[in-house]
Amino acid sequence: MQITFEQVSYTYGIKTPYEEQALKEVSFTIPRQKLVTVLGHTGSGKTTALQLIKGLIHPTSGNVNYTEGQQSVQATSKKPNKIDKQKLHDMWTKIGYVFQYPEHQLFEETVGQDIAYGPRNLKYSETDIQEIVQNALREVELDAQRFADRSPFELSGGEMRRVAIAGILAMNPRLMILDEPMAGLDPLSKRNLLARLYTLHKQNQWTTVCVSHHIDELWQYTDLFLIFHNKQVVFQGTKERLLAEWQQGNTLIEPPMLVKLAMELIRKGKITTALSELHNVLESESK
Amino acid sequence: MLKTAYIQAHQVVFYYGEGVTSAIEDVSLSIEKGTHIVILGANGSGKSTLARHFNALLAPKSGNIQVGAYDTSVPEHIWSIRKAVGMVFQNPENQIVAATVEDDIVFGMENLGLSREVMQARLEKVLAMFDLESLRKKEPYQLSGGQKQRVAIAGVIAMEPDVIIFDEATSMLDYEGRREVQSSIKTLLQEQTATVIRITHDMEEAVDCDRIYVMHQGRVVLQGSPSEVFQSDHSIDSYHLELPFAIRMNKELNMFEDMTLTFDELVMQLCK
Ligand SMILES: Nc1ncnc2c1ncn2[C@@H]1O[C@H](COP(=O)(O)OP(=O)(O)O)[C@@H](O)[C@H]1O
Ligand SMILES: Nc1ncnc2c1ncn2[C@@H]1O[C@H](COP(=O)(O)OP(=O)(O)O)[C@@H](O)[C@H]1O
Repeated sequence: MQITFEQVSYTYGIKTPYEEQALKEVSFTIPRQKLVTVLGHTGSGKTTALQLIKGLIHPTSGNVNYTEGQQSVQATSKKPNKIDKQKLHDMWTKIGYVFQYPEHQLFEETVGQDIAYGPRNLKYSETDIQEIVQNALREVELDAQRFADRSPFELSGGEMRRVAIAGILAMNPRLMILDEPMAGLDPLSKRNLLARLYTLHKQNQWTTVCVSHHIDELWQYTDLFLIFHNKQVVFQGTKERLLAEWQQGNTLIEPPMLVKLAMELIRKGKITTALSELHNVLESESK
Repeated sequence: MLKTAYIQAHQVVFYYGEGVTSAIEDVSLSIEKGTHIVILGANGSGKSTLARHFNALLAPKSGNIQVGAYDTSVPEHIWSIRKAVGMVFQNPENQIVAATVEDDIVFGMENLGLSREVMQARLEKVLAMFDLESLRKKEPYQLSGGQKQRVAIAGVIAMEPDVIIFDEATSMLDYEGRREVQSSIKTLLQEQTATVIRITHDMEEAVDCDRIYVMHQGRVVLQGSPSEVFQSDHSIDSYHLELPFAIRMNKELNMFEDMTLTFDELVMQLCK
């Protein structure tokens, strides 16, 4: 799936005393099958943009364009006609949204039931549902035999997180939104989960949008960066372009540790390497 | 400087429910007043459970915990302990109780019986400290996760407890936000000689403290200064931890003898 924002603005609580603009005429593209890492300070508008993508809220002005296979459709501030409404609904159901701390949203008695919840709502047959649950558990590397009948509340933090993600996999998303997917996990669980998500991204040919404050960990997996600042997008581009920005002294965002180190050594006149030469080192360091 | 033990845990055992396995297994430790403590360990290793014992949210099944002159198992002491030991949790959703940011911060202080003037002064101080002035009249639902986390931290700091426990309280904050909290912790240590106990998964945060405790399956398996703990690196992996950046680089470059714990130390060594 591909998403394009054209001059999208969003304001919360319009015509109330709490009116607050959260996005100002933002334009960007999330190309299909790419992994896009979204960075930016708290309050810069990231979550608002993700909610617009998922169709949880609708633009105050501007368009959000969706393309999946042969289908294209646009979300705007106006009420869509009947055909577009259906098309938009189809797009939105193909978008998986993993919220921060997704395990807080587990609620069924067993792991299996929790994962089956989505497909059951879509009225799949019981045999299909069983197969979907098995597959989803396999994809997050949890043994169905051991886990399907256990209560989700008696698992470790990392396991609960994987169950919550399995529940979203069961909906067979084409685009995955991950909001701080590693928050709260210990360093080893973090690395494992990220590697697993990346494998799934490749295998299932997802388009993936990942919000994180941890640029170091995501660096090696990222195709494109999108940086929000003050309710606008101030950078969209590749790692090479981001390195070039830092080279020029633009600190749009806190660089990875290794880049920070190189910048410090350059500043002190110890090395004269261009940051772009760090590219390969960075790829291996983050592994 | 002479320091006295303020929190003392003696052979603490704790289990939830029927207690098939213990969440805390025979933990003894002693935390001195005015020190900065970090607790590390894998998810599920017992860090939160232990921290909840320090402000009497949980009581040991066996063993005991002393906080100052109080015992956490004595019901009459609980109120005094809660006043002395403030806690900020990972999930700020359940921590903001009042209608506005300002009211929420004042709410905590009201229970302490402080005068209007003192409350007002402290309110202004923490609003400035955490860059919350522009948000003071906002309602909780208008705030992002990171903003709520800052409000929760400010609320506890305004109460000026002797001990502040941060249970992964910076997990939703961005780099700037984490740095703000870091520097406010420094201020607390200096101005109020507060004792700070932090649970974190961020190794870069962990290098900057007096003493680290590493937990594994309910036990304290490693303790010491950051350099002591991170030097015993063969066990770090099995406890789901990793080495801080400066130590990793130092090893990789294999250049110098001296330990480099922080980024600045690494730069200094490289520039020698
Ligand atoms: N439900 C809401 N009601 C009112 N204002 C909101 C709401 N959610 C977010 N905001 C405001 O919108 C702006 C952007 O927030 P958000 O998209 O959550 O940023 P981020 O995800 O980058 O932290 C902030 O100023 C925030 O206070
Ligand atoms: N409310 C609870 N009920 C039952 N078991 C719990 C509860 N909270 C934690 N546990 C269990 O106790 C152990 C220690 O958990 P916890 O203290 O939360 O670890 P940590 O903070 O290191 O992630 C884990 O096995 C966890 O599953």
